[in-house]
Amino acid sequence: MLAYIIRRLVWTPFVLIAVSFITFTVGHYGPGDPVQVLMGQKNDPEIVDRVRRERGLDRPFWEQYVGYVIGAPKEQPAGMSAVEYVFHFAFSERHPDRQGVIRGDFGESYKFLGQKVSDLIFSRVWVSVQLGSVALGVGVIIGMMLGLAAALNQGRWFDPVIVSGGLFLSSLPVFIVQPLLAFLLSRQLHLLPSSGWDSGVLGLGIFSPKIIMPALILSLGPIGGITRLMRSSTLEVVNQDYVRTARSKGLGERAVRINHIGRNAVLPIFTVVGLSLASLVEGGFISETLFGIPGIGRLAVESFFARDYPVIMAMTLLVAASYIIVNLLIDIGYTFLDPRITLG
Amino acid sequence: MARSTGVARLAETAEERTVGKSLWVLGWERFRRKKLAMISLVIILAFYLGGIAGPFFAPFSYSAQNLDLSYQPAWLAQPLCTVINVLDASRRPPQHQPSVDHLLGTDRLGRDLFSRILWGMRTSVIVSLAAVLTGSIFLGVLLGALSGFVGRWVDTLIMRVGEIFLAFPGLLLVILISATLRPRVQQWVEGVQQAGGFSGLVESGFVDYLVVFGAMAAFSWVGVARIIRGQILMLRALEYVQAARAIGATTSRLIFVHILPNTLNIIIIMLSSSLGGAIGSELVLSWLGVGIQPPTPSLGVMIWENQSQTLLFEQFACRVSPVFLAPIFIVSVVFFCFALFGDGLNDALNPRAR
Repeated sequence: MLAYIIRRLVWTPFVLIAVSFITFTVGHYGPGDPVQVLMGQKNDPEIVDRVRRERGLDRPFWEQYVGYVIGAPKEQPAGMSAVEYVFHFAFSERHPDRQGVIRGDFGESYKFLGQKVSDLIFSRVWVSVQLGSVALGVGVIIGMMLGLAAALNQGRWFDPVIVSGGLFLSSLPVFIVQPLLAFLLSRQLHLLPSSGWDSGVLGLGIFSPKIIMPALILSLGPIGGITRLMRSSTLEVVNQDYVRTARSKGLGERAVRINHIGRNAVLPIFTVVGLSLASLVEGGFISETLFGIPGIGRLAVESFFARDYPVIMAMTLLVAASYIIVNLLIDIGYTFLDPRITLG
Repeated sequence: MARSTGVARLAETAEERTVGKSLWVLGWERFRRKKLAMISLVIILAFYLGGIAGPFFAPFSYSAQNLDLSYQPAWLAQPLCTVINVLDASRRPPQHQPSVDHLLGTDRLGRDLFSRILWGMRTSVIVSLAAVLTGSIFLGVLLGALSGFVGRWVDTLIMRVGEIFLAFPGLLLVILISATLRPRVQQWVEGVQQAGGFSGLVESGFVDYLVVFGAMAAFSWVGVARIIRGQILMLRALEYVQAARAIGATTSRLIFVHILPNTLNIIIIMLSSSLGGAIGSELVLSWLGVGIQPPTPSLGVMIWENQSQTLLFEQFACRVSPVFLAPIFIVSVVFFCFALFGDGLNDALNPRAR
């Protein structure tokens, strides 16, 4: 168990390095010259050259990448042997604007001039985390209840209706549901605000009615998946001996359903929660853009269209890191919840 | 005489009974009993057939414009619109009257919606088939089988690389790749075209297809490879494979006769879910504006072009053609069918799901 966790923890940095390398390569060789983007209309070759030198964009690819990850030295290395070169990168005084990803410095945005990428992202992460957790919470709760209800009513009309209803809702793309719901609930019935985000105390937007529609739409995916999973895991549990024992010793149906069936059927849900994270992030790109919510999903789409590679690279890295960490936590948590499982 | 024929018939039926049914026949019989899944299969096949053959029968070209006739209401929706007309007599009449020429009406530029949907379906069909065949089926099965059979460092390498791919936010990277690679691919295709002395490849939207399915294929193999590897590791340890090896079967015979056919049910299940997923990815990419580019028709682009609320209202009021509603109807039905079909297929073919 401990060995497994340690092995995963040791492996994680390598995955992150690979992810950062791939994104850096794609960004580096992508179309558009960042200096040209920065300069805009001004096209004085002397200034272009100077900006390129100041930002270290004239250095070879490898140097730029290493500088991006561990920070670039203040003095550009020149005429050094390989060993000196490595030492220079690792131990000399760092460039104040390029501290490296490992110190939380993702460089400067191309689009929002003079803004640190880390500031841009961290001011928006909180919004997306709120939206995502509300959507996931709603999805898990509704999905579990629907799945349990469907399984306990197996053979009646209720069961197939719930299952195929869940399938239908979760198979719809976000950008189809959004216009229809906004049309129905906002434009025709005037029930909910159609877009925007309120950040009240501590930037909490979860108490504003504006979160209802995006969270609902984002939760459709998890609802469908969790309903199906909960249904099948309940069906596995429902005929177990301990359920029969619980019934035969005279426990009420309610107690049997919640304590004996429900609690044991819930276990597989945890793995799905980890996988839902990816779909929440991806759903967030679209729904945050559509609803005008200032989260990282919208930032990703915006910076993508502006060819703002530093932001995109930082976002990819952060999402990958959080995905790995959440799945590791779920794996570990699972062994505590279900002692039958040992990680090998 | 009569008795003897009776006995013969009895023997015959007994013989028939002892003839075993293959797993596939059993699976098909189980699948056929699921009405919803069968209906879904028919609809999916119709979608693919429509995408393949439809453009040849499309009454108009996807780009033929007629600016005098924008937003002509759908002819097919006439009965419904008559009802709406009666219910809401005060409503503003549509600018144009529907005609049989345009079954689903026309869009803003007066292009025939029905033809455009057929062409858009063709895009979905091409991209999804290409992405799934190269990514999930070819790469996924190949790498999964390699890593399951060869084991050792090959296994470690493939699975570790797969882990890296899994850690990526897939959509973000596919967006990034399709945006960064497009100019290069465009150049390359133009170069090939010039060298080969033919034309029309770039104009046919080939570059879009290549970029979109390439970016998708690069990321879709991991899931399939992992499952195939698990299956092979499991099957390889079973007695019948060991027995085959003991009587001297070669490795390739073990792989192709004894093991891979038994993973086929899982491959088919994955195929169905990957196809649905690929259609969805193409839709999202085109909708975001990084997939199929506008002159080439795509359902995602059509949805993006027509999603304004005002336009939606006009469509519900039957004043304009269902420019937004028709594509999303088709897309929703197809996605739902893929979900139902995959579910039924899983029940019928996956022995552990029952």
